[in-house]
Amino acid sequence: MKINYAAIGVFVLSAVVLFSVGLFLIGNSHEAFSRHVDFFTELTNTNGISPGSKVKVSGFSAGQVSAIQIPDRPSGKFRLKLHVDDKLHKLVREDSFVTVESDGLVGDKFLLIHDGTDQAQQAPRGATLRGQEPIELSAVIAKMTGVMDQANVTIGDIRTKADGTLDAISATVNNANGIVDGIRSGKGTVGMLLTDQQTSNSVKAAVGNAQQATANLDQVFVQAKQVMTDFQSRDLSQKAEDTLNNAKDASRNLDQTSRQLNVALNEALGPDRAGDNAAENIRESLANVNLATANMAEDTEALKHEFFFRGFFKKRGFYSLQELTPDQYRSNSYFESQRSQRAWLNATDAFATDAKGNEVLSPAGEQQIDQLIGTIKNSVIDQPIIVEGYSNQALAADEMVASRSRSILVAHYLEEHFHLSARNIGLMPLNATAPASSGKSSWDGACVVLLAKVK
Amino acid sequence: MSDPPAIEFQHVSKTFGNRKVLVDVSFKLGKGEALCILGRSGTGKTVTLKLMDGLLKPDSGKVCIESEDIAQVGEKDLSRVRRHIGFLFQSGALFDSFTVGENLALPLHRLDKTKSSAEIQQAIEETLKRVGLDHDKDKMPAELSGGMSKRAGLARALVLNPTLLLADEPTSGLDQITASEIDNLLIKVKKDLHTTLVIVTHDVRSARRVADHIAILDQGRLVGFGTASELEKSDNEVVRQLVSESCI
Amino acid sequence: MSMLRDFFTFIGKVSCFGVKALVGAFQPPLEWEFFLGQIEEIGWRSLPLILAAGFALGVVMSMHTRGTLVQFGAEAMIPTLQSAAFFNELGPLVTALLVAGRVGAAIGAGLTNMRVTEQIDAIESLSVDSFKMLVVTRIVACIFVLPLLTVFMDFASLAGGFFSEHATSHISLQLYMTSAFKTVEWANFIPPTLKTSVFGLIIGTVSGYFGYTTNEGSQGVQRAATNSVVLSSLLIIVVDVILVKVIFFFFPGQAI
Ligand SMILES: Nc1ncnc2c1ncn2[C@@H]1O[C@H](COP(=O)(O)OP(=O)(O)O)[C@@H](O)[C@H]1O
Ligand SMILES: [Mg+2]
Repeated sequence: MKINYAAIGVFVLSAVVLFSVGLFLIGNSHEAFSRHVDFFTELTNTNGISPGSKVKVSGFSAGQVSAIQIPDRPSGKFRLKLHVDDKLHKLVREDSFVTVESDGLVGDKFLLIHDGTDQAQQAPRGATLRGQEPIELSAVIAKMTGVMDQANVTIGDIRTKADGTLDAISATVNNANGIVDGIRSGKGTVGMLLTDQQTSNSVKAAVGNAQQATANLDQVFVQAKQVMTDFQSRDLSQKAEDTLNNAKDASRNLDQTSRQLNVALNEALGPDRAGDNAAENIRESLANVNLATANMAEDTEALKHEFFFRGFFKKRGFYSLQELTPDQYRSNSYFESQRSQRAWLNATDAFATDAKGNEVLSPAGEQQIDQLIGTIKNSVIDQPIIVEGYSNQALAADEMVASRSRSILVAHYLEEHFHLSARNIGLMPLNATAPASSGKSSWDGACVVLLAKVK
Repeated sequence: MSDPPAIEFQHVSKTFGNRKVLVDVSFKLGKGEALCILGRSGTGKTVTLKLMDGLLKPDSGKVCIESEDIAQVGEKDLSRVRRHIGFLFQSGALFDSFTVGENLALPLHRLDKTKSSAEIQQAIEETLKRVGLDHDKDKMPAELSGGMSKRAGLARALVLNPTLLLADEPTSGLDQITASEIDNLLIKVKKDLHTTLVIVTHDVRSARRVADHIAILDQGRLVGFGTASELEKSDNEVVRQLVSESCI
Repeated sequence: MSMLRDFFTFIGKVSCFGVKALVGAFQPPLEWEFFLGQIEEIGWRSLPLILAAGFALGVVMSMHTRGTLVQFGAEAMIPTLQSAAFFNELGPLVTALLVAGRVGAAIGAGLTNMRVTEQIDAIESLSVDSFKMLVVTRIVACIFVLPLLTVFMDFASLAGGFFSEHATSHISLQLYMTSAFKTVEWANFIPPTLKTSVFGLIIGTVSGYFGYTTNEGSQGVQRAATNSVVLSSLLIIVVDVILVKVIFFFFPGQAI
């Protein structure tokens, strides 16, 4: 038998060559023929990774999982041996970490070695890289819900505190109201009680404090409001949501996530564009509230003993009309700021001379007063009223007498005709010069001033 | 006869399936003698030859070659016995993927194993010369005519200089001249090498020329065994017919 | 009943025949020369058929996948699909079927012819184990040669695919090869290629059985050839189903 050895040789050799070419060309060939380096990583959950699963370094196919050591107790971790192409060793640093990824929606699971930072040392052969547990979305949401709850609690806290502040403010204001009421329903005209200089001094001090406190309270109120608007305008809830989304996107680092949220909160509470710092605001406000309420408490305590003087004096800054000189009256800020109603009585129309030669209210003057009182009707009962008397006689003494008598005439009419309590009516002879705030410079006759009620 | 017989059949029977091919066949053949087996087609002549070479085993009885029951001996002894047996198959049975020369080399390689390749080549060429095929050593069997195939087969059977030559219809299908050439060759072998011959043939004339004994098979039975003249006097009609019929 | 019995008898005989051949392969003396002869006959002489068929099939496959994938704008997948299809399945299967046709018939007819012309008896008369010389060498040659032919088939089909793709889209050889081999893994190449050894065993055993045991004239030769081809082709396809499953069992990642 003639055997064609050459043919057999060609046949077998070319088949073997083709087979080898196939082996080399085929995808995973480089892994078998190149130098390799082994790393380890530990995971509590392998998430479908099995021996033979691909290992990528920064997305570049680098090798495979060559072995998985199963933990001996539930709290242990799976130890995975990663067989990685030596060429990619440079990218694997000591701070590299390993995550389980999947190829597309339905693709195979693979391990991704995240390349480390340039500063970190190259991970030595056999190094155990930090394994980052795959984040289950549900866990992220659960954790985020926790964080959100905390945020809610914090926001709730702030709101409660702010509310508390508001409450305190209203309480204070109520207290102030109470004082005014007390004075109103109190004993006689205020001026009569203010004979004792010591008392008046202490009241003066108390009122000063109270004024300060009120000013503080106003400020606190404004600040509290600011805080609340701050919260709304800064859109904290949206921010938290964004953070949650970020966290989902990142899906990497929960620590980082919570850190981010913290940052977000800090930022939210930090200085805004105008440089106001919400947290500072709140702190300040709360401090103010505390201070204010403390002051308030003290003052209230002091005033309890002389309750008729409370709020009224705080508001108007004096104790009795009698103590006020016409000049002081004219320039007193309390009267200035009062949005009072006035009825001007002209000397020629409203006043007349009777048979004895004494000046009396003319029917026209009475009618004018009736008209004014008519505008406020029943509330006139506890309406504080000041009757200003004016006269422009040539002699200053005549002036004083005339203006005073005119104010008395009008007060009398008010007391008698409307049965008003004398303690609610104050007399203020002003000669010829009216207060600047009244809108007139000089007058001859009288003016009924209905003081605005203190709220 | 102090010498053991070259071949001895003792009550040999052979059945294929339910067909009885040989039934209780017994005879002896001395060394250096020539036996011609005559019989109609399908009466078991080839089977008889194959029994002698151990290619078939008898169902019962013994086939002894030089007193050795070749149905019982192991593979190694059978190989030793076969070393001295040449077999010319009916159609030549040359391995068709081998050249004539390679066909002749095969028995030398397989059964002798003592000869160097030069000796083998020499033996091949001598044997081919004996059968008149000295120019056809490198031909493939397909390129040979019927007579040449037979002679090549005969050469292969003779290449080891056997002491027993089994030839299955060596002359059938050949012209008279070629047939008598082959007969002469067989006679020469028998005379020169003192080879025992067993020849299956339909040619009574050549049988009478070559054979010392003639065996007649009919439907699996040995119906006649003896010299031609003895058989002519046989009372079995088939025997007489076979021995004489083709005399004409 | 008797048909069933015959069937099982036949299965048993063929199986024993195959096992005996495999055992014989490991028992010296080895029929080296005959084995090499069969490598030449079954391997080398089948090569033109395999290469031509592979190339043509590669062209046809490529054209078909192009027609389909173009609709999805996925022409880039053509080389990948081509290699996946041929490495995993088409290469091994088509090779085995082609060899079953060519070699199965040759072995069946050849051995029957040798039996009928008493060549087998002639071999036996030389105290040579004709089974080892003729059957074992053929079966082992089939086992050995089929993976090699499969590799040729795979590459011929890639060549055909490249030829076809290059003609239509002028794809570069490098790109074609890169994308053809990108997603193929060793498990898509080595096990399917080696599994053809089983096909080789089937072809050798079945056709060897028919050839070696048939002993009836030219009719027998014809029938042995036909039976060899039909039965070994059928068995190849059936066994392939099992082998694919077995490969998936050992390489679970390769189930496509
Ligand atoms: N190996 C075998 N298996 C089955 N039957 C056989 C075998 N060898 C021969 N026979 C049968 O035995 C009978 C005798 O055959 P054979 O000896 O070849 O006849 P012949 O006398 O023509 O040579 C034939 O009918 C044949 O069918
Ligand atoms: Mg015969």
